Amino acid sequence: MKYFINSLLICLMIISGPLYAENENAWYMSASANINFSAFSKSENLDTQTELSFFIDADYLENYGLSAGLIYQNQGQNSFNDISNSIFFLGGRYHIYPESLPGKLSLSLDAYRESENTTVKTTRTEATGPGPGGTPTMTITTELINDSMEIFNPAISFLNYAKTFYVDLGYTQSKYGSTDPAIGVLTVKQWTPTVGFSFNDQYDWLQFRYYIIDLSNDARSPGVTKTTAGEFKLTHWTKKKENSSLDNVQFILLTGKRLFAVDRDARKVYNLADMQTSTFSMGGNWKPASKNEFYIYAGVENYEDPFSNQNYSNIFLYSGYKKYW
Amino acid sequence: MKMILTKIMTALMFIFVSVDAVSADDAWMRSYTLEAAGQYAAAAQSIEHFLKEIPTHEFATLRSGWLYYLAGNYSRSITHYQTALELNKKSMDAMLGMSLPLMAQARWREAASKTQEVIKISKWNYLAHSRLMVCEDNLKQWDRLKKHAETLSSYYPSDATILVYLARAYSHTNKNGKAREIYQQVLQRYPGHLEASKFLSR
Repeated sequence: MKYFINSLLICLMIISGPLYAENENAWYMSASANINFSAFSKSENLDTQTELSFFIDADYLENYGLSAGLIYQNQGQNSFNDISNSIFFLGGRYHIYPESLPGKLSLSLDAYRESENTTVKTTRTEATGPGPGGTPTMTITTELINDSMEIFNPAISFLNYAKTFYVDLGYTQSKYGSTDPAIGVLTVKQWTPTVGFSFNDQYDWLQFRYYIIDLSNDARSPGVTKTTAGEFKLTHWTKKKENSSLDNVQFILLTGKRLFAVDRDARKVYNLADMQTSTFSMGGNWKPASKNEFYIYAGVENYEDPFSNQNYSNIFLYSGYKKYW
Repeated sequence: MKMILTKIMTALMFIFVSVDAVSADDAWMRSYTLEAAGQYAAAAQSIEHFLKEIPTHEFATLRSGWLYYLAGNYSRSITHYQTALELNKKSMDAMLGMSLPLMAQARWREAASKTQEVIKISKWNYLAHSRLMVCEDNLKQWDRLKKHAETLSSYYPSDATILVYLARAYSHTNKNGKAREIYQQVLQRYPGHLEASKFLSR
């Protein structure tokens, strides 16, 4: 935790350093704090999950930008102790305005790194022969298991100048390491082609993202080496009304199968080892003043445990506050 | 003999210079004619040789920036205006010129920054302030736009455009009563103004 806080402070110093050297309007900063609470039902292992995240973004005009963040996750288990971990996030983007294209090209690279998470693995071995007093022999061994996660997510996107058409191609390589030989290292390669367009006089935006995910190690997902899913996102901007600061409402529908996915818009890592089979969520963004934003989303995610083939669901509530400077 | 040769040389020099001036005049004339005909890229190409011969030709650089902007080649337009600014750091023409292709590319922050450079030199330059308001509008900086338009309308009280931005800023900050009042003032200056009429008929 201390490592991440130190790294975050260093990033902030790097970002804010040139702030004073440049034109006062050249750097645009924003910071957001978010909370996501999930309650699982019909899950054998999972009870709740709480995620706290903090992000800071700094953009130099419309040329380039840097981001840093920290995600803290706590997973409440039904039969075991809670599992906590921290994920450190760093991102960068660079915008190009080519003569040959009627819009801007953006190149981005996001990286996530989970702190090394140490857990105690307990193995019970029951011998067939009688032990002292005629009972079977029970051997309990414990060992320390180190889990780690590293994710790199480059993407190229195009948005036309009129902001009516968008297309991107994202690639994500996730590496989930474990010192437990029974689990091994898992490499996940994710491709996400995306298309988006506006309609209704730019009051509505529809985006479709297709997830193609290849998994290298089926020890974590028996029989599954490839999953595909489609995500539809509809955003409707409201017409201004007096005494209402509601800026937009959003509906998200995911269909298909998705495992170890990374959502780069939401900066969310789906690191649960269970198959996501569908999601529906909706929410709204409020802008009570031009430099403040508040958002709240609620939804339901359905999962399938690949080991037990058991289906379970998760109801979540996500809320956050964003401040612009 | 020497005197005759000197006179011949002088006459030849005069002829060459005149021919050169006439052909330069022709090039500018062709450029303006093509611009008037809406052939902006051809108009820019017709003065391109000036920039090849004299890369520091400030006016040809500025005009190329303008013509490539009209032709919709915004990136090339920005490159020319950038060069014009390097040639003359005080050039408000270049700063204001560059704000146009930047706005066309929806680079509102960069365009705002260029207009602010002009405002630093010429505090109440109308063109710079009106383009800055366009940027603030697109960046949804309603509080900033409100203060800006309010101040500006005291310097240009008869201007309808400034009042339109002021009314928009009031409308977006949930002050519809104040927005109505300002839109009514817009209609006094510009009867039948579409946005003002539409807002007041709600």
